[in-house]
Amino acid sequence: MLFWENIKFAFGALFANKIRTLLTMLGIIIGVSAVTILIGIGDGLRGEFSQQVESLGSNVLVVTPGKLDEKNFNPSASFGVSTLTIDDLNAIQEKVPSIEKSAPLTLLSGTIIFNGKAVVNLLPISTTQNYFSILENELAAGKYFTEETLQNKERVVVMGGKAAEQVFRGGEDDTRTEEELARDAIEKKIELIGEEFTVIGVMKKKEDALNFGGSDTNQVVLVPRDTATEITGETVVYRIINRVKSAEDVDATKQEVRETIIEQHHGIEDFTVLTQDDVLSVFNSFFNLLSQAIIGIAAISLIVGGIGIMNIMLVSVTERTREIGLRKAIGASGGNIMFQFLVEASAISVVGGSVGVGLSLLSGPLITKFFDIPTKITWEAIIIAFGISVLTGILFGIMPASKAARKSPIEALRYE
Amino acid sequence: MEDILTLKDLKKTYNIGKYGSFDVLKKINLRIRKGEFIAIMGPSGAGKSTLLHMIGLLDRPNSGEVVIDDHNIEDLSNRELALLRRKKVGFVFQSFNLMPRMTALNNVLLPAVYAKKPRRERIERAQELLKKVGLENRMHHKSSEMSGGEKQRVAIARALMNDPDIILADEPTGNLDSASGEGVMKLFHKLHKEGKTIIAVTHDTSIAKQAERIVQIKDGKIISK
Repeated sequence: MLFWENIKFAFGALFANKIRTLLTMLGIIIGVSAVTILIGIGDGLRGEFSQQVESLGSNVLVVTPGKLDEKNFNPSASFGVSTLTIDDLNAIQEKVPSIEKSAPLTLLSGTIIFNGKAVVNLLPISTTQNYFSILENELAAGKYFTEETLQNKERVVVMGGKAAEQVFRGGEDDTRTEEELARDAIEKKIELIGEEFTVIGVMKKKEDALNFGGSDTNQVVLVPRDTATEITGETVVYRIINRVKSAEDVDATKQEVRETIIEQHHGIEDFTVLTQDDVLSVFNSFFNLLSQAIIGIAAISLIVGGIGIMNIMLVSVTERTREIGLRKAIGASGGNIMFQFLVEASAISVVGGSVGVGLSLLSGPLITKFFDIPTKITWEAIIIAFGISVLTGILFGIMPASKAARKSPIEALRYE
Repeated sequence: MEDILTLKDLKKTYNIGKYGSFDVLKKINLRIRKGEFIAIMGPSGAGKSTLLHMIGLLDRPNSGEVVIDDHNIEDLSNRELALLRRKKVGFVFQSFNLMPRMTALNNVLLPAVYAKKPRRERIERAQELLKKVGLENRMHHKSSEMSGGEKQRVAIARALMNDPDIILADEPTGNLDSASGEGVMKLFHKLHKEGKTIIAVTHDTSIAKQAERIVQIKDGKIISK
């Protein structure tokens, strides 16, 4: 019974000082909504990335330069100079029978020019005909290049669906369908690495394309490897992608591929073989690090909010010294007074926390819409943020409340 | 009549910082019988209010005994003291001490909230008491909207809420005009007739004369009783 009366007293006192209460709450509101949204963005990115990685297929192995430690994700490891070569690829194909196919990937520098206009954000890559079957692409129009294309060093490209859109879509009044646009693109000439290439194929857009820092696999412009080598003289390989015959053999095959390349590199392990699960776990460890950082920020922002509550409660206790004295004179015990002020402090954090959660639920979809950042506000995030905020209110309310409870009724009644 | 309250060799000292200490009450001996109407008189600074706070269980003496209804308060914890205060004593202050944002009814209810009386019971009792002090039409007005006389009558109703044996009043008419003061004194007489023990601190002789007994206090000592 006294509990409900105390809640009534608390809200009465908070309403009596609306602006002060609102400003105190603001700390908690901002803290809780920031935490919920940040966790939401983290979860959203993690979800989207997992989907992309899973679209690779569970029987694809990727060899990437640099040694990545699975436990400690180090993004700079993948920026080193590649030591992978075409000989490594040949060794894999010769010595690892469970590998069905392998393809080298090399990023080409320079922009694509069509009709004298440069198109940015595309991924020009040199590779072999195996690329198409390893990543299970489908054609929207035209054809893939073949072994003969490579041997003849033909100046041709196969484009990703989105790359074709970016190069050939005339503007908003260009209403051609994806397929019509793909068909029209065939036999068009584009300029790349200083040479003229003919488009021979356009691939269908994939839903969950793997992202490469701003560009995804729908934005590739694939050049036959031998053609590119002839023009640029570049023989380095940046990635080797492999398809394993059976998904069950992925782990064993990964080991064989690793040993094969170590042998090729005279015992030096300056590369990493990644399965879909490895990529996921590497990125999960990165996201976990991110989550820990968010929890740190959360703790700090809520502590700041809690100090705000404590500050205002201390002011309130001093201001209401007479009220405390009177309540004691008419029969309130120290415990009653303590409880009343604790309820008041908690009410600030509960209401502030609720508003914060409400704000994050409203702004999550807006962030996704306007900034194209995936957010996923989960119940766990809400419960964590809300729980911590309520706990903060109680913890930071204890000191002022016990100060109020300890006031002597006489001193309190004399206070003017 | 039996004693309701006994003070034995009561001493209270206040520390006043670096200037040392000050004896407010020096060896006070006083017996108050049940149903008495007592006025405590004396010049300001004589220790009247401190004595009243001791009787009202708001403060503890440095030495000596306060015995109320066979309870020696020395043996009671702060919490037990609060429980006893809630049951035995009703306070009326010079400056009313009402909650300004609460209605008259809610102000009167408050002691019963702490005494954990059922809601319906306490509302009925509060309404009855407000009727008794002649404020049945002002129940739902905030105390900040009331005159001094009305405020003091609300305070008296609040003091009666838990049906205490003792009503303690600290200069109850000090902030009132003479007509309102008379009204308040009439209420005290009525309560006295109903059997309540009334102890009022005052320096107004016309008020004091209305009591059955006058206790004179000066420099922390009782000079006549």
